[in-house]
Order: sequence, then structure tokens, then C-alpha cells
Amino acid sequence: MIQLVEKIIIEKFPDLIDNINVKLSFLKYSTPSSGKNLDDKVIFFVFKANEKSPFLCVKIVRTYLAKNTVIKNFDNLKKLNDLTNNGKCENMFAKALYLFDDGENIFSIETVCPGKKTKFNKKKLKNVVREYINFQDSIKKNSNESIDDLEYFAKDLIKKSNLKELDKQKILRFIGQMSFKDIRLPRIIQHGDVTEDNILLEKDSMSIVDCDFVGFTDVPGFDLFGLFYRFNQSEAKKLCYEYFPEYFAKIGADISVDKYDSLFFLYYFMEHILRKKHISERISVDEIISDFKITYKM
Amino acid sequence: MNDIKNYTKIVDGIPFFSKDCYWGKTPKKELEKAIKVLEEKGWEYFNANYQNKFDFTFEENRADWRFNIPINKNFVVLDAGAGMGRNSIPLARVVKKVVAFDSSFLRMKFLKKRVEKEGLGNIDVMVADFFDMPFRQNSFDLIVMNGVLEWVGASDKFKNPREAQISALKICKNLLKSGGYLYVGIENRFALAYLKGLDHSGLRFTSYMPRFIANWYMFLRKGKRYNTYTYNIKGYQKLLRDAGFSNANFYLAYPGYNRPRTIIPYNNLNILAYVIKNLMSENTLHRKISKIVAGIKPLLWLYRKLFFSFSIIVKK
Repeated sequence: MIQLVEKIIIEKFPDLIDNINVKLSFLKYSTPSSGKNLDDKVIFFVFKANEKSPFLCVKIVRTYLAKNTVIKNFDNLKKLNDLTNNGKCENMFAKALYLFDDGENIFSIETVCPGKKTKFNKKKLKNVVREYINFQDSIKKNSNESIDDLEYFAKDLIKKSNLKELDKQKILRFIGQMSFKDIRLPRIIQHGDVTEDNILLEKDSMSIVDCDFVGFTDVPGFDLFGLFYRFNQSEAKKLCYEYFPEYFAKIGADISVDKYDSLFFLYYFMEHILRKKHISERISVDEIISDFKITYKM
Repeated sequence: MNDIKNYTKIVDGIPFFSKDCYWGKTPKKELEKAIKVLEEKGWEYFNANYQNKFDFTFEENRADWRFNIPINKNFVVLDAGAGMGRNSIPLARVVKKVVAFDSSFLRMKFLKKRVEKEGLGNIDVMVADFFDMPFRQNSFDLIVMNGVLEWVGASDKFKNPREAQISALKICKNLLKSGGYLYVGIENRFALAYLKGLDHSGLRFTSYMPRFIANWYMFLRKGKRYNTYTYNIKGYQKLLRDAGFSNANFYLAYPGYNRPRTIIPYNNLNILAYVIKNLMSENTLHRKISKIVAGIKPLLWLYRKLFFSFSIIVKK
């Protein structure tokens, strides 16, 4: 496969390669969970001879039948490129360069984000959140739409989910106790998987990788909620209260602090029922509600 | 494969070209029980109760080394010592045909069940012996020896394990079509991991010992010769040359060739440094030390020498 990739890189990107006879080297990389499913991605970093960092990143799947994974990832990255083009967050994401598909092989080529994975502490988290809020602020101009009736939005989401009817009723009853009134949220595209593993840090910049879930939702706050939840589950609520006021003010959302709980459940529902379907298949809706209550001290 | 030498019998749809000889980390009785459970209660029950007991068998990433080979849909592949099909299944998804053989009937029986479950009609499963394979010369585009070469020395047909290994490689060379590929997944003799864990012999430090001392030690402790030879990169290069192969590419497989999550060209120290510095989180002391090592070239060179395992791709 890499022989074909090398040929295409030389053919399509002569400007990126100083010498047509250059020998490229390929580093295969996949996450620990890649391989559990047939549609998991495999990544190749491409190095020029004697270079210490890769200059391109190639994404492949293990079987052509899973080609949609590559196409979706590439399209999502292009979407982010369009949104951030010429803006102050232009370099937060890789640049989608080329999608190859000959009916037997499929791969995408993109640039490589600088930086490295880092274990977060509170200071690093603070910097990441600041950068992320800047990103959301910079793309809010692209959206004129907003969610004016969050209760209707939440109920509609639950009704359209793949849950069994009885489970839907349980969740609808649960959110019935919450207040969704007087909330207006601008719709802003979410990355969908902002985790420590998907954030690369350099001295003065931050990149976010892995675009599988870009656009999964445009309910603002979903990314930050997920980041805090994974950073420290027991402190997630506290971190939301610490950072959400600044975030919501910057993106022009209209929500008071006492309404955050209802939003938290909406995020939780989207994360555990809609995005990670395999979780909801293993545990019951009652457990999900109960976990939420424990985590968020409801 | 009915155009080749005759099988002696067929059991559960699996032809025998040699006698059944069980091997494997999982005790025979445990696998027998697991297959019985599978037959009686189906895959759903099996997955819930047994999936994690057979290490990485069901992961699709085990054959990720294949991306370094220009495989296409017309390839015919021989998975030699196929075990439970960790390579056969992912390969069968992208090639024309996989012939999987193993000396253990039970493991082939399990693989046949997996093949049926996955609906893959292009895998032939059989019981055969490495040194008496029932295939014609120049038959295969790719031969896989994943975790096999170190064990072929156990055969009593040769006076020493190295001779057996060279013979096995020569057999592969004959079976490969011109321009075909041999893949070898195997440990590094001087892997750092062997200083704290067991060698294939079941004893500590035997891979580090000179062969004659390892042999005496093995006789003393287990009453048989030391026959699971592994080598360092130079050793493998020489072994392959002695078997008639001249064109080998070496890769470092991390965390091991059985789960090649990261595959690094051996001859590129920059890439190894990049992996350690950028792709590994600092969640263990070992990794913290590795990051320091990655910044000092002589130490990085030494670290590479002590890496756990290799993926070796050889072209005929």
C-alpha cells in the first residue's frame, strides 16, 4: 500500500518534495483501540530523508469496505479548514490535501499538525480551554442559527434516538424535572472528540486532531463538557462552572448559571447514547441516569 | 488444494496432511472447552465469556505489517502456522485467497469456525507440518511466518535449530512466486524485555546466553536442548542470506509484532525518536526514561538494539 501512497505523493505534490528522487519513509501508527472494528483508521506519517518530523499524514482503512471512514474524516477536516481559513485559528487543524480512491484502495493525505501529546495539568488545561474558546469565537460568525427552544430540541433528540420506547419515556420523564426555559444557544460546530489524546501542544500553539466526529453536534459546550469529563470526572461539574460563563459570553449564548444542569444532561445524553452507541447497548438507561446524577451531584 | 498431494483424512471439513500436534499458550483442554461452548451456545455467548482469554485473536490490526507490501486483490497467501487466524482473517479481506495451515487440528477447527462466522469464502484451512507442506513450488505471492520461525527449531528432523530455521526459510523461498514476499514477525534475541521476563524456552536469560551455555542450562533444567533460537538484526540478516534471500527490510514493531500498533523502519533513527517523543504519553517511568533516551543519539541507537520485536519483509 505505501508504494502506491508514495507514488501519489510524488505525483500530486511535487512542490512539497524538494527532489523527485527523494526517498520517503513511512511510520505506521494506530491508536490502541484501532483494530477492534473493521472501520477503524490506520495512520501513516510520511518523512523525507533525514527529517526529524513528518511532513504529511496519510489515513487508510484496513478494508475498502470501510472507505466511508476515510471519506468522512477527510470531508470533516475540509469543513474545519473552510471555517477557519484565513482566521486566527487557521493552524489549529491539519489541511486536507487529497483523497485517493481507485475502487480498491482509498486513502486521504493531509498536512501534519505540529506539537505533541501531553499529560494535562490544571495550567495546561486552562491554556487549552482558552485556545479552544478562541476557536469557537472565531467560527461563530459562520452561523446565524440558534437553538431558541432547548426543551423542544432536547425532547426531539430523545424521540429521534434509537432507544426503545420505554427508555425514551424514562429519559423524557427525567428531563421533565429540569428547566430549559430562557436559554438561547447559537449553533456552533463542535469537534466532537476533544480529548487529551487528540490535542497536540507546542510552546505557543495548540492543534486538535482526529476529525471523525466533527459536526456530530452544533450544541455549544459539548466539546468542553467532554474535555472536562475525561480530564477529571469528579471535577467535571466544577470545571464547567469555572469555564462556561466565559465561553458562553464569548459566543453570545444566553443562559444563566442555574440552567447549566439541564445542559449537562443534554451533553451527557449525546455523549453516552448518541455518540457512543456501544455504551448504551451495554448499560441501561437507568444506569446512565444514575451515573449522571452521581457524577454531577444532582 | 486438491491438485496437490493427498490428505490422509478429513475431520470436521479440515483435511489432514500431517498428524495433529497441539501447541499454544492456551492449554489444549481450555481451547477444547471453548470450542464446545462455541458450538453449543453460539458466538454471542462465546464473545461475552471467552473473547479476552485468547489474546488479540479478534483484532483486525494484527496484520497491519501488510501495508508495507504492495498487496493486491489477486494475491494468494500462505499463512504458515496460522494458529487461530489472527493474520489469516484480516488478510483474507484484501486478497484473493489465503491458505492457512497449522500442526494443531484444534486451532484450525477454531479458525474454520471464525471463517464461517466472518463469511469469508477465500480461506482454506488444513492441518499440515512445516517441513512436509503439501504445496507446489512458486504458488504464493506472500508467505506469513508470524511467531513461527523461532519455533521451527523444535523439529527433531535437524541436528540443530538454526539448520531447521534455514531449511524452513528455504522451503518458503521455493513456495514463493518470483517477486513474492515473505513476512517474518519475531522477537529480538537481545530485547530488553528478556532481562525481566521469560524467553521462549520458558526460562529466563536463555536468549542472552551463548547458545552452548543455553543448551547446557536447558538440559539441566528441562532435560532437552535449547531450540527456540532468536537473533539480533545481524543474525536475522545472516540467517536470511544463508537461506538464499537477499532483499530484506526490517521494521521495529511496537508494542510487539503480535500487535503492531506502531511500525518503524529500522534504519531510520529519526522516526524512532519522533515516536518516542511525540506519540507516546509519559504515563510510566519507562516512557519517561525513553523520552530522555530519544534525545541522545548514542543511547537511542542502543535502545533500538534492545527493542522487543521485528517485522521483517523479504522479497524473493
